[in-house]
Amino acid sequence: MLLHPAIMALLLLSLLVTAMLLPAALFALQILRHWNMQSGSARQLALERKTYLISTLLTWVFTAELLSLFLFIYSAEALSGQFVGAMCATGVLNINAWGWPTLWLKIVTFFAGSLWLIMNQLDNHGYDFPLIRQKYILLLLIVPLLLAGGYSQLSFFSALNPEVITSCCGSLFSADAQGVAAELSGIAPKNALLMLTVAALILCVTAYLVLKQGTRLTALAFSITALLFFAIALSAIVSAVALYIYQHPHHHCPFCLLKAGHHYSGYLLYLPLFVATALALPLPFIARCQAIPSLSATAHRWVKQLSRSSLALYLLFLVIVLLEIAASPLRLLSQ
Amino acid sequence: MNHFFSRQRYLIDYTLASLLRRKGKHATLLLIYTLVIALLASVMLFTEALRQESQLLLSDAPEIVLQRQIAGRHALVPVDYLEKIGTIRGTHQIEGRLWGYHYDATIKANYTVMASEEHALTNSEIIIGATLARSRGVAVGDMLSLSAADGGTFVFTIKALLPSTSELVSSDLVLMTPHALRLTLGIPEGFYTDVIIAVRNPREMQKVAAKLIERLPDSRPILRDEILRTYEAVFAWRQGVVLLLLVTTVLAFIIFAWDRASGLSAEERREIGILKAVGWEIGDILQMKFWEGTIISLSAFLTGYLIAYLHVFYGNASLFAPVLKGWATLYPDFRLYPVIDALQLTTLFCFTVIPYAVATLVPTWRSAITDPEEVMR
Amino acid sequence: MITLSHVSKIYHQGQPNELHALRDLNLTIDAEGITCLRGASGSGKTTLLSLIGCLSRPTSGRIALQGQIISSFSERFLTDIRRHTFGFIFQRFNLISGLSVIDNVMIPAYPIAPDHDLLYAKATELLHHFGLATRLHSRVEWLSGGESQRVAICRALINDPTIIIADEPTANLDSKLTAGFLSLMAELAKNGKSIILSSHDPGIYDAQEINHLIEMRDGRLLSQT
Repeated sequence: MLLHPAIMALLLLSLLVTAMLLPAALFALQILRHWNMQSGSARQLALERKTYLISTLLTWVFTAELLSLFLFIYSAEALSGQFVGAMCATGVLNINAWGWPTLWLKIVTFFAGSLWLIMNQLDNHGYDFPLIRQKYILLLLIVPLLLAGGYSQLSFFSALNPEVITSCCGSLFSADAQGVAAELSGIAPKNALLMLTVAALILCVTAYLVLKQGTRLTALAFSITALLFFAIALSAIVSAVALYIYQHPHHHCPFCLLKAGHHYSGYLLYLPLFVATALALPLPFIARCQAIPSLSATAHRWVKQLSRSSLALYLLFLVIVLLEIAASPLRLLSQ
Repeated sequence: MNHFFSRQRYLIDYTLASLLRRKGKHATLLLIYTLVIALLASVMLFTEALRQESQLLLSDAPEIVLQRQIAGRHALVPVDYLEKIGTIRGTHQIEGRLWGYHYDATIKANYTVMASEEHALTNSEIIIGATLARSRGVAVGDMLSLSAADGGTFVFTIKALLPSTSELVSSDLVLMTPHALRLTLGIPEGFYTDVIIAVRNPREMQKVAAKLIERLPDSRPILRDEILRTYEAVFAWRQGVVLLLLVTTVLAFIIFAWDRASGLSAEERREIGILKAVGWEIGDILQMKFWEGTIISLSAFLTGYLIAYLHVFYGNASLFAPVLKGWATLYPDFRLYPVIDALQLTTLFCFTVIPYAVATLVPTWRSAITDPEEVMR
Repeated sequence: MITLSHVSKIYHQGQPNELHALRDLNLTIDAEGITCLRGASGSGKTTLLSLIGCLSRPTSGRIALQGQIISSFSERFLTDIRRHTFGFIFQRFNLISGLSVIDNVMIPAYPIAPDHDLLYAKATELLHHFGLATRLHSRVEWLSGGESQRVAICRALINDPTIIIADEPTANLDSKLTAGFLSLMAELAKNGKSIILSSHDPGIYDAQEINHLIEMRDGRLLSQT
């Protein structure tokens, strides 16, 4: 184990999150067993008041998780100086088997957390807590995810061995290597950008349908396209956009983008992409809530608002991609 | 959205007014909070600056330093080693160095003595570091006597002082001619302390090192990158150890904050009851309390960080320099180059503000669910 | 119009100090004019006022406000209804000390977040109307009893409620101020506000300004006129 301050901060965050999560999970069980909105009994009143505590608690949990996602990537960057072969976060994540799973778990947690928070916010608009059961079932599903993330992170840090010679982005994201990362890097930039364009067009169509009709089906379609777009966008960053930013035809790393040397342009790309996806994923669920009497008006409004904001952010992402390509002296498409 | 912002504005207004009404209660908390942050931030800023400083220094260091080892200990390098190394592809400068440590009984400190041919010194002239000059109370032109290896004493004239830009390393430095050094430290002719080798392409460093060991089995090549990595690890580790020690401080502060937040006076309870009775909701109270926490945390964070900044970069980190800096007993008086980075700020935030927020969560909620009916009784 | 059917309220349910404040109460309040709840202390007046005013929920039974059943609303929505429907005047005035008169008056509007200038103008106008024009920026602890109560009235009116609820409003006032208070209420009633107040002071419940009288004893309804 390395005694790096950022690692200590991450472990502290994970400890706090676990400490807050366990009472929340117990409370979720209580809700599922005893909730009865018709009753004015002391227990029901106490439960209702406790929902405020749990919502606040979970808002902090997910804020802490978001912070820890940033801090994790950041500290992986910072640690790269201490390992032979590591030039950026990729190298550090490769040191042992827990690096990448931790990152993925943190990303999934980000989306699950935003789903929960949006559901919670929507539920607050109904006078009779219409979503209370779904909300707390979802919470019980998120708990193992968070615990797994915490465990994976702990394993990653405790198995950090400075003796290990790791391989960095140069070898992982190279067309000659094996594995998903290599496959992604192997996609020709032209094809990747073409796929991104097609996905964007489909996205615009489904967004138009949601805004026009707002039905469950269209919301589902938009959500699925958004998820696909997210995946395609990530692979396009690795296989094409990164090349333009690094001005180098073979440098595919998704993390070096976040460095000061590349004007932190990674944040400009990832932030709108992640937030847009987080807004798009709950849409089918919100569209379904239009059938609940105490929520129908709010849910109807939200479907439109969320899909509009989500689309706007995706378009912003595309604009940033175009600007990066235009600003780069590298030309890949004319070849 | 507009409604959201204007509501927050009202809540912040109210919070500010209520903070100002209870200055006494919050002043103690704010003071302790600020001190805890100042303490942690000082540690972080200081070690980070040291790390940067050492990195800066090492960037001019030779790529490979070759030492000779006998029985696992550092030994002098015979001159003929330079020939034995001969020409290895990729190296472009091979040079023997003369240096060593000298213990001065009068001020009970170690000097680093180095041979220098650049400053056109005569055998009775030396150049010394500024800190050394201060502690011996000498200036340019004065005489400085050093005891030699054979028991005699040499008297040198101080020709100049080293510039204090990077005092961390040069503070205890003494430069003299190779001849004077051999006499003072007792290094026989025909030997060097170690050998430096410059390598053009950093990727070939490992290969060069392997060849060196092959040709000179009793030698130990030290790579600059290795030193850098070790420095990184050592500084991060030191910082970690100090932070670990400070965890108790943070914990004590958290317990204090928790206690403060749960110990609601009857008057505050009544106030929350009134607010709820006249139309505020649990969520409004929670948000108001959130702003209260934010205002307190933000002021503590900014003030604490500022204090730490001044302490480290203008006050020479006088509080814990001895713990974090030291190798010699001569403490250099140097100005660190200020560095602030986002990772550090986020880490500090995680160590202080987040635990504070979590600690005050439950007490805050307790106060927010005060029954509005109570004010009618 | 407020309808209560089979409403009970039990405090500290299941604990040794369990208290049945209201027992199976059936009551319709035709909120026009001034309604007075009369009864000894402990008869359940305050509990009834807090249930009507959405400050708490009944343990069992149903409450309907203008036809809307509010007894199973969450606290968040009860508060929302309370904000827009009710204004409260308490026995001990319950002003927040340390704040100025005008701040105290504006506080109930903060969560609704109206335009600040409009709110300020409205509060000023109310305070002018109730003869507190010179006291706008005084701190509330410097006010006399009568002034404090008028500030409390202004605060109850700031969100334009339709119903004013006053719990023992004159307990801390002398007879002259009590008469003054009643005439203020009568004036509000004339302007279309409904007023529900509780009192065990004959100066109030026998006064001619009262339109309806509800008598309570031991958490039950005794009579209604």
